[in-house]
Amino acid sequence: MRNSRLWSGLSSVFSFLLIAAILGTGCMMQYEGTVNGALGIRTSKVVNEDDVDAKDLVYFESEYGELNAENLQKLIADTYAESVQEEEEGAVLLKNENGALPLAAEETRVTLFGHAVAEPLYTAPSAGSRGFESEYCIDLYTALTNAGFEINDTLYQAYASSETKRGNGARDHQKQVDNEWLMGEEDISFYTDALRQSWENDYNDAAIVMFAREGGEGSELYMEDPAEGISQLALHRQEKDLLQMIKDSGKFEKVIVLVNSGWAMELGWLDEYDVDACLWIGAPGQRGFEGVANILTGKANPSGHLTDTYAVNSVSAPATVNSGYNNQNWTNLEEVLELSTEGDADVSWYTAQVEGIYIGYKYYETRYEDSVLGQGNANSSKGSSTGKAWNYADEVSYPFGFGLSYTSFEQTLDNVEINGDDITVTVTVTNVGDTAGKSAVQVYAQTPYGEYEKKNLVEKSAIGLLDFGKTKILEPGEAETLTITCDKYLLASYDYKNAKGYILSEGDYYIAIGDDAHDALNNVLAAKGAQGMVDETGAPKSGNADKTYRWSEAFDKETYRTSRVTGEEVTNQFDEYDLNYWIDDCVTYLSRSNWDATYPLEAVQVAATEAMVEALDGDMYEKPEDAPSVSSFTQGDRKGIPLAAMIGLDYDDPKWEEYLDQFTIEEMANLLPDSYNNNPLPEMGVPSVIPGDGPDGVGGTFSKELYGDGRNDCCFPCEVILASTFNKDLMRRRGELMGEEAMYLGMTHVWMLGANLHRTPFGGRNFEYYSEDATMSYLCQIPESEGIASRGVHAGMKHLVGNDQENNRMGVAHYFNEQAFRESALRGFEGAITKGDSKAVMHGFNRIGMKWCSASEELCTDVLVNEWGFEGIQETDAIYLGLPYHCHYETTLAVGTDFYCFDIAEGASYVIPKAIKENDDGNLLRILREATRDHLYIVANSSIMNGYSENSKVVSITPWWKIVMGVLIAAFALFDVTCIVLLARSKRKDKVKVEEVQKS
Amino acid sequence: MKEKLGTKAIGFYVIVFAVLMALVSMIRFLMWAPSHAAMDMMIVAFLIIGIVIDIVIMMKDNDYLTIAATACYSVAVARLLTNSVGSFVDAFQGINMFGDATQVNTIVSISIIMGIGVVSSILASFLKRVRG
Repeated sequence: MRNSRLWSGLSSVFSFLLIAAILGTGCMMQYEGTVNGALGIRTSKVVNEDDVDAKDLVYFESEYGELNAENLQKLIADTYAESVQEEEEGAVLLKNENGALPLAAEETRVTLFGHAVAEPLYTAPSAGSRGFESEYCIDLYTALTNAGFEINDTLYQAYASSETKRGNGARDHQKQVDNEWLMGEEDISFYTDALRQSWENDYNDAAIVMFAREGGEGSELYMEDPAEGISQLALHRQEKDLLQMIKDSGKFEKVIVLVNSGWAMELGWLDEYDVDACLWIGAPGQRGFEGVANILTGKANPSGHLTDTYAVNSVSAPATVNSGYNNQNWTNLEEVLELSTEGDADVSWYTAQVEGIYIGYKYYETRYEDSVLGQGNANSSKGSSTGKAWNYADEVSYPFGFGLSYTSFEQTLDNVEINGDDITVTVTVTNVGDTAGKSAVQVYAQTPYGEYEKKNLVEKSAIGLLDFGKTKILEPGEAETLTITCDKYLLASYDYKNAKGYILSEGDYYIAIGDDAHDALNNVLAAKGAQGMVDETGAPKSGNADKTYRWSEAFDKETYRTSRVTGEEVTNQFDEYDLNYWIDDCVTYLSRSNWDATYPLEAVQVAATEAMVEALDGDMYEKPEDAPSVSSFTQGDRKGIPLAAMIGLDYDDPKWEEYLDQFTIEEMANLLPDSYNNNPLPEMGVPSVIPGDGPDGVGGTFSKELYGDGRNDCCFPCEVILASTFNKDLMRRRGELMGEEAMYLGMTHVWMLGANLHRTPFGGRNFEYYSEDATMSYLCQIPESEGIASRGVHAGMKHLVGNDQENNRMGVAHYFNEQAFRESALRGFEGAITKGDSKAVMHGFNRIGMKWCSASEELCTDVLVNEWGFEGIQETDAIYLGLPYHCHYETTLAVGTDFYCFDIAEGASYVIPKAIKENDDGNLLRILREATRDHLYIVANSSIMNGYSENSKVVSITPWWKIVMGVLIAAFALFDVTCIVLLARSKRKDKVKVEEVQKS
Repeated sequence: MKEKLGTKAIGFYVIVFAVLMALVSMIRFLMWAPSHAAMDMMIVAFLIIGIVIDIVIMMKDNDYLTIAATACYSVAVARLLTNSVGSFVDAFQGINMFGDATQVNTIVSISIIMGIGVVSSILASFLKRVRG
């Protein structure tokens, strides 16, 4: 080969490598935080003087003592044990004919059916721990084998080697593209004669059938799926064929169905296929299947209760008419898109919460009471699944709060005392069966629905969860008395029409205990002397008035008129978030005053007016006329105050102003984008800041270098399982353990808890939100949030607010009336902030009314800060895509947003200083200072400041990959240039040779 | 024509192949990118420049231009991959947030064709393109 070709070839090689290295490095720099996170790199460290004892600088202690390898192992063991216990107490036994479960000691040879047994749903696609992908994950097969079962391997291996896959049909709503959606079940032809032989004479002590349903982030479940055009939550043809095959075989002693789903499946078919027992197991995370096995063997007695209504027909919920796949485009969409300056997809979709407060059981049970009492045209066929008169048993398979046990309990309502805001309920629980177990005490309430309420459209659920408690394990014959202190505030209703505030209605109030919401309502109805009650099967029920307590209240619009936290007046903030504000009477809200006249039969369709389009455009910030000059603030005045000096100071301590004076405007603005592994600011004593993301695992891998174990943090069972335990001790414990994991992972805050609602059973992320009931969410958050916070880690609620669907989540406008909003979507977030010490919230992608959540002053400031007393950081959801409605930085900052999630282009860092300086806008600068304080307040008061004192130095660490990439770029450039020079020399030599030849 | 082709060596045909790969990948990219919010004119521009350079090389061989053509194709493929990081992240995480996980197969297939173009261009740089 001639030298010139060698050098040109090598130049080409190095040119390619150089370009790849340069562009690759640019890309890595853009995702610096993510890269550092993935590689487990911290970008700062603390350096203390020699005489400092680190033990003196511990502000938040781990319960295990020093963070080290030995203690990490104890923590890991505890997280796994917690997972198993959560599953044992959270899985819900829905059916258990003739004591089919637990399986007897000799019933060990079983066949597992359903493709899900080989492809279990540990969790659905979202953020959080990837522990379920690790070697430390235990699947159903392994858990059952470990528990002593002998499994039909012929069929199991056939499932395992099958090419069938489940596809969640993730939809990219920006690009309107669908992923492949697959039910993931085998066709009946899969079960060949050879396979059928495998259970003909063996492995037929029980058929354990597992069905899965899967949504996820960006994946709404279908109301009419691509497979059969039916609800994704319904039983599908292949599943029916499978069950029929098992039934027809006549070989199995017992048929047990496991529902492996974070969504409420439609289960009206259990009797049809002679299913003996059904256990809802949710998404069990990486260790929960051990709990499932323990329930099957009887090692654990199930004590979970549903936190959703299991409808016979999921689309019978009125919320489905306008939500999810029934979102609407403006009827004048073309005109809207022409007028709007936002992105097309950002302003195209809307949903009206026509169902008002009637979500989940609040609809089914309220309509039930009205049908029993013969009021409100409740028996109308509108909303009926059968097309006939509405009938409770035709609509509900299992009510909210339902759950069986291997034993029986008796609960007696001993006493109710009302003292100020406290309603103290005393209940004695006795185990009257023959198996030890725990019992959940569910306390419900009914408040009056009278003429005032009808006139002013104050809607009332016939029954509402007020609080709950759980016993210890009670041996047969053993009793325990629980005292549950409930919050009277939860009995108040928001009157947005007349009082424009919370009211306590005039009339009779009832406290009731019951096995579930329906049972409690039947008890209330019994106390009212009603007749004709039924249970969910349609069987007559008389109710038990002894399980109720009645008292009366006078009309009261003052007690909850002011915030109990801040003293701020609580009054209408969201009038403009109601479509009726913009277009007269375009929405008729569902009202129990007349079900027939108000039940929504079709989605609300309206044309957006010019004023509405203008309001949809989110660039709303204007510099106030009285804004101070930038020069009236001191910035960049280095006084040597480190962040450590702010530890423990109040949120409004004057020293914060002094501390903030040290920052330049650019330094503060550089703190606005959240890359999930944020660089330190050594001069201000700010270390690198890393958040976690959940809700079912904080998401990270432990440092093998530091702690000798590089595995993932625990993927706990899904949040619905946790809620279904009705056990606040377990909720608090999960919080504590996640806080401990976050300490090992160096996290300041974790984006959990998931507090959105199961507005419909189809919400893509229902699996990681607690319940259909906002009060359930409110109550569950408090202990879990407190548990996390107890370790110096901030529990960040997400996604504030109304982000109850994944379909069109980018910018879908959610309209509502203020009662529905305050008592449902907002209530879901209130507990953690007002009572659970939560100091971080992540906003939703959606709009509420016309405004993106992050751009709503009414939400971010008027309610969150002024009413709820929130002190901490408010973050957008990920704005990586840079959609137009995400990029109104001045507006969002001005209303209270502090942090911009995955603002990869760092638009906030650029736009805000420019706006401040070009407009001499001291108002925006003041707000930027507040955002900086909000951000650093939670950092200063987190466990990552353990080891820091005012004398500590924060030292930046350059990630090793930056050095490697820099060296590679330099080396490739050098080699490339060298090869080109050598090529040039070679060509000159060739030329000289040619010339010499020509001369000679 | 036959006479002209008779003067060409193996490297010439490798360059022709590289041009074909660049053309195919550009057509595929143009068919795919606009409907998936992935359009990047820099990718198209560098592919076109690379193709033009290779055509010039076919007419008048030049070692420096082969390096330039390789560099152009390299920029195109590297930009496509770096632009698509969000989609790869989503595919890995099983969610749809940063990009479009559903498009990973298409992105990879276009990148492979572009990558073959880069390798061909590099190979052609080592090879004799004109006889004699």
